[in-house]
Amino acid sequence: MDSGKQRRFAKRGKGFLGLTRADAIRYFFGGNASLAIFILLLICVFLFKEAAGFLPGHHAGLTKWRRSGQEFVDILNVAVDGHTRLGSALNIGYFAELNATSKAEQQQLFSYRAVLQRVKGTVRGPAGRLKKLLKEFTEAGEKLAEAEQDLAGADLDPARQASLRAALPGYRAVIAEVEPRIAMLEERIAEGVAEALAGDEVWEGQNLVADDREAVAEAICDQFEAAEQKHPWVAGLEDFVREKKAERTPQLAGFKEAVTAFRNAIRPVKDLISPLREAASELKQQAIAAESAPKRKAALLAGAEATNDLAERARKLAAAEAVVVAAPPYDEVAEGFYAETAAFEAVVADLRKEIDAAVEALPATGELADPSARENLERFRNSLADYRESLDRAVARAKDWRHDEPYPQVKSFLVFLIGKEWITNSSWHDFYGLMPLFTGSLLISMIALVVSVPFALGAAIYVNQMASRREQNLIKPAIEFIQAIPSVVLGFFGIMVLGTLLRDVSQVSWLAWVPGFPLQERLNILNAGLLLAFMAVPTIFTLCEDALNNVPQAYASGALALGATRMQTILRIIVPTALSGIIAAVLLGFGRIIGETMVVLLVAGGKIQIPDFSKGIGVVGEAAHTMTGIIAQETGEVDRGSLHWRALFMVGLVLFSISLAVNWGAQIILRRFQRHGT
Amino acid sequence: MNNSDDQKPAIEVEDLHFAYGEKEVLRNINLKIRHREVTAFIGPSGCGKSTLLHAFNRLSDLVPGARIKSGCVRVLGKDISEPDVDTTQLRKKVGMVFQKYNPFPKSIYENVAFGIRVDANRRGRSELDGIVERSLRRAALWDEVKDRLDTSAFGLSGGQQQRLCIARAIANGPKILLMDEPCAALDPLSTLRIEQLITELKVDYTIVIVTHNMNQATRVSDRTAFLYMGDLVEYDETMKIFQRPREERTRAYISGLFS
Ligand SMILES: Nc1ncnc2c1ncn2[C@@H]1O[C@H](COP(=O)(O)OP(=O)(O)OP(=O)(O)O)[C@@H](O)[C@H]1O
Ligand SMILES: [Mg+2]
Repeated sequence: MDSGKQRRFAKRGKGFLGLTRADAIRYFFGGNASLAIFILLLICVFLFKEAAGFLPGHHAGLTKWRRSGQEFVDILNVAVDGHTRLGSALNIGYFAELNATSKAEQQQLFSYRAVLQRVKGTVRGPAGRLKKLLKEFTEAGEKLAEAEQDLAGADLDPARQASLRAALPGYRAVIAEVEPRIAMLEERIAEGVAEALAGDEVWEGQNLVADDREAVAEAICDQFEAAEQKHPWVAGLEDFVREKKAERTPQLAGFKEAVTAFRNAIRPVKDLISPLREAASELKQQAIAAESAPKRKAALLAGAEATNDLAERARKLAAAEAVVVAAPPYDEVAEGFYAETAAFEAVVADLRKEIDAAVEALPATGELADPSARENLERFRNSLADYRESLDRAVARAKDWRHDEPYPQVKSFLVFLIGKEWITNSSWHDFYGLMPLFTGSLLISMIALVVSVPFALGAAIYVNQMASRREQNLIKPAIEFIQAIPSVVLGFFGIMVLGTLLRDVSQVSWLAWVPGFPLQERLNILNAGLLLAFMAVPTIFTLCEDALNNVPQAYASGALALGATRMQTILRIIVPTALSGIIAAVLLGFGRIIGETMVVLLVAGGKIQIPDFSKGIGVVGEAAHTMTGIIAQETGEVDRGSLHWRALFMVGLVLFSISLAVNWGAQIILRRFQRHGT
Repeated sequence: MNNSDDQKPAIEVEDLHFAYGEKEVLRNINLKIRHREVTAFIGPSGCGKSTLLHAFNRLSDLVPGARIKSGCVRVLGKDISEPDVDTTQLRKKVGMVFQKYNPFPKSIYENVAFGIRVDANRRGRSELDGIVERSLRRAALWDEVKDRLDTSAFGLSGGQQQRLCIARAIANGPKILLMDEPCAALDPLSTLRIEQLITELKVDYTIVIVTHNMNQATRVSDRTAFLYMGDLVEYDETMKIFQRPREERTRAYISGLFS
């Protein structure tokens, strides 16, 4: 603004606190801007302050975990965990093989029970009432019969006779009253059952052929009519299954024995560990108590000082005296652990021998009839080498373990940053490992991006380059409207509609080739990713559209004048020119997605575990938890100032850093674009 | 070159009426532009020079509502006023250079190669290299850029960028070059170079140039058309137009009474 103009501006109004109007306006907007920056700074300071407390606390926790011997126990426990996984694969394999000859029948029975459960659910109300009425009815009937019998009997004393006679009409009245109601309820139940069986969702996912469906329906109707009596179809199936199993059991005796031998082989290891576990736990409790002891003592002493009541003071002083400030007996207990390493090595050696023997006794995979059994046995055999190696490592680590070796600071930070476990409120030890949350967030965001970017970019290209005015006026507001949908509503939609839809689609048999199908969970990464993709579309669309709009018209006319088609102009000139803007749009979309909370909290499934990547793309069918979700979920229930609370702040800090980096990157790219474009 | 083709005019405009929406901006234009001559369009701002030029390669299609109301335009003997003309083929035959130089945000090489790359019949790398070099030489730019073909076109000076745009148009192997005030954004020295270039190019190409610079028109053009408020007032040899104009309006315009 040149000074003449400024002066003219200033002359017009004067008087508010001695400020000219121009100044007042300037200060107002300046004030708003600085307030925003101030609040941002405040948030940063708060975040950093709370999160900073985490690192020492976390390190102290890990140090305690080591010194108390919990680390040692966890090392030994590796042997047990791996064994449990292997054992369950074997077990599943055995039962699959056992059931192989009556699989279809078991499936039918299973379906029958599932449908029965559903139908029971729908007629639960009247059925409960019916039960009560029936009880009343039979009781009244029994009493009536009894009274009549007594009356018919010889010489009762007259008083008793009179009272019995007086009671008779009462019983009759009850029976008369209850009987029609029973009939009515029975009818209502029959109707309810028929109605419930007619619903499609009752049969959904049960894989029954039409004949079976009829049989199941009949059996269920029968069951409700003639209570407690098994329908012959059901009874037949059950008999068949029992028979087949009985037939099969002796054939598979060898298999079963091997499985049992394998599973029992771990017992000595467990027996060895369990007293150690108790000792470590106790020691840790002592350590925690010792840590707070000086404080407690001081508090008691201060309390004693403050009271005038002599008895009270004496009591408090005594209590203060009783508080033990001594350090917990780390070294002593540790000696006990060191003493067990040799024993551990010995039991592991035995374990190896027994496992070898059990594996020897297992049937060859080719001998098995059931595909699932074969698959599980194969998995078992494939994982065996890894397990053996992990045993070696456990023994070596147990030997190397020293309780008094200081826990490295860097390592404790790494335990947070790349730790695979997020376990809180545990009676053993709380682990704050970011990885499960980070992978969950990342995976969901990736899906959301992969889905939303083509959509948003395509829509932006269409709207900007091809659509008529009318289409533009229709599409743009529609897409931008998505932003107005509250995310909790989308989350609700994800739970109620999308989840069910995805699962149903995934169960369609000709889609079985799609990795991850059929989906096991209704709430999963895919579901959350799709919803987030939907949410990210407006952001990416709007920014892409801007970027395309910023491409000078002269490029397009230049390309067209050289004989390029409309499409070639778009793909070879306009989109490449706008590319940095588009990349920035994608980055900002990513920032939007990774920070989104409500949808992932509601829809991602809330399982704190690194998704199982061994399934390849199928990993998207797993449930997961996210960084945003965990903060939203756990902040409310932790103690302020606790390590857990600070850990959540650390997660927040990581999120904040990611968002910051993404925004920063987007800005750099945009700036380069602007320099380049003019 | 085909002789019978040469007998016919390169561009022939007959009773052309052109309108943007309801607004008629060209009326009853009749004009024949000869092969391998430079034709200049002059006239005051808004008289319809660019509109007429854009009708020759149908770039007028870019403006919604722009249409030929009646009459026809024949380019190289073909009527191009029909809506279903293959514009990509037409535009390869009729290159265009704009008032504000507009190289693509790509390397110098890719700018020149663009027209070939979007062409349906693909050419090999060595052939492409040859075309790029020839076009740049033809546009008198080769010596200045041969060592930095892979650098951004934006690194060139304004005049060089405009010559790059000419090279880009030449690479398509056109018969006609349309230039809409090609020197308006350039300094005098660059203008001179472009004018030299136009005289050199005249040997092979039919050139139509729009200009506000009377001296430029006399320097480079063989014939001149004077347009005024949508009418073609006078069209003749440049010498005649500037020395002995038949129309009073022409005389007034070239002597600078109005612009
Ligand atoms: N896109 C358009 N939509 C509507 N009218 C237009 C459009 N472009 C040009 N016109 C009108 O057509 C008439 C001729 O315009 P044109 O651009 O052809 O003039 P010109 O002779 O090239 O002018 P200049 O010397 O300023 O470039 C003008 O009256 C102008 O207002
Ligand atoms: Mg013009």
